[in-house]
Amino acid sequence: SSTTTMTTSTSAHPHQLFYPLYIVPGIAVYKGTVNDPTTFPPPSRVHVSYHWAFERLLSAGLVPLTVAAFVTSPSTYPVLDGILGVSLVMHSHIGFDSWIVDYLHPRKFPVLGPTATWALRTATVATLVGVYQFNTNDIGLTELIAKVWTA
Amino acid sequence: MMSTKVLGLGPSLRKPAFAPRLVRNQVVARNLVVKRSVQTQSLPSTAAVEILDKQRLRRPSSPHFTIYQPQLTWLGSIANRATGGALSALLYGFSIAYLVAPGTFDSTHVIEFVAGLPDVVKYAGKALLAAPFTFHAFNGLRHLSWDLGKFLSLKAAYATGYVVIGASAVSTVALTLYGN
Repeated sequence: SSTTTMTTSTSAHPHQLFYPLYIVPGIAVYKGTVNDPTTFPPPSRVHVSYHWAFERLLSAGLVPLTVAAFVTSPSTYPVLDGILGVSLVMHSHIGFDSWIVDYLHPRKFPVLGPTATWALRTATVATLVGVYQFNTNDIGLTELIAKVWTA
Repeated sequence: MMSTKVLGLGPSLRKPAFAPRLVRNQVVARNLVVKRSVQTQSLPSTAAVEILDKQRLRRPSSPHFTIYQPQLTWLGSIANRATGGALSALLYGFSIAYLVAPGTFDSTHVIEFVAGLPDVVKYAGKALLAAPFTFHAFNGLRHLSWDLGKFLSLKAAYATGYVVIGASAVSTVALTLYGN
């Protein structure tokens, strides 16, 4: 009997299906050969240390902002409500971005990673518009939470 | 030779040396025996990377996430991420829902809906909202203290972790009972 093989055939792992290249569990498909070094992002203060500092300052600032917003009556200080809303959305955006960087990095997921990044940006813009509309045309986030809590 | 005896090569070296060589017969016999022939196909050298990638896709990865011992350190960390994600998803979801359908999601409708729920559901709902919020807030403070260089030893990480859990539990109870 003759067999046509180029390499020795490996038996597939019992739980392994053939995953498409854009969703591969646990394996990276490398650009170039195994002898090519990995790529690094270009050094950038904005994307690294300034981003880190901004993230921590924002998180720290959310504490007095939340306390102030809920202690004072929201109808008397709508600007405070607005600042809290924007800060919360920015904090959430940075948090979701860290999910993408950790689980869907573009280096490993060349299609899904950038798609998720842009989907997040779209959702954040929509959320900001929604928060603005709610704070302007309606009672605002802090008052909604206060009223729902005591409903 | 002494070395062949020591290495155990004696018998194998002895046989061909003293057996009559029937070279022609052996060659004929070899050709009569049916052997498996492997057909090769010619591929360019660039195909090597492709084959390697395909092989890599079929390799399983060892269990890691499923077998790591549960510890306060990483459980607290993933809980911080999960609570933050859940609360943010709620914020994003509500804001986008209000943008898309302001008639259904405006404050009067929401407050009406919540007011009409049975008390048990109200308490449960408040606890379900307060618990992630308080945990995320207190654990966030723990994270910020690490960023200032404090509490970075293992003992301190565990101590602060327990403080965070305790504070979250107390404030969740307080928040759930508030406003009734």
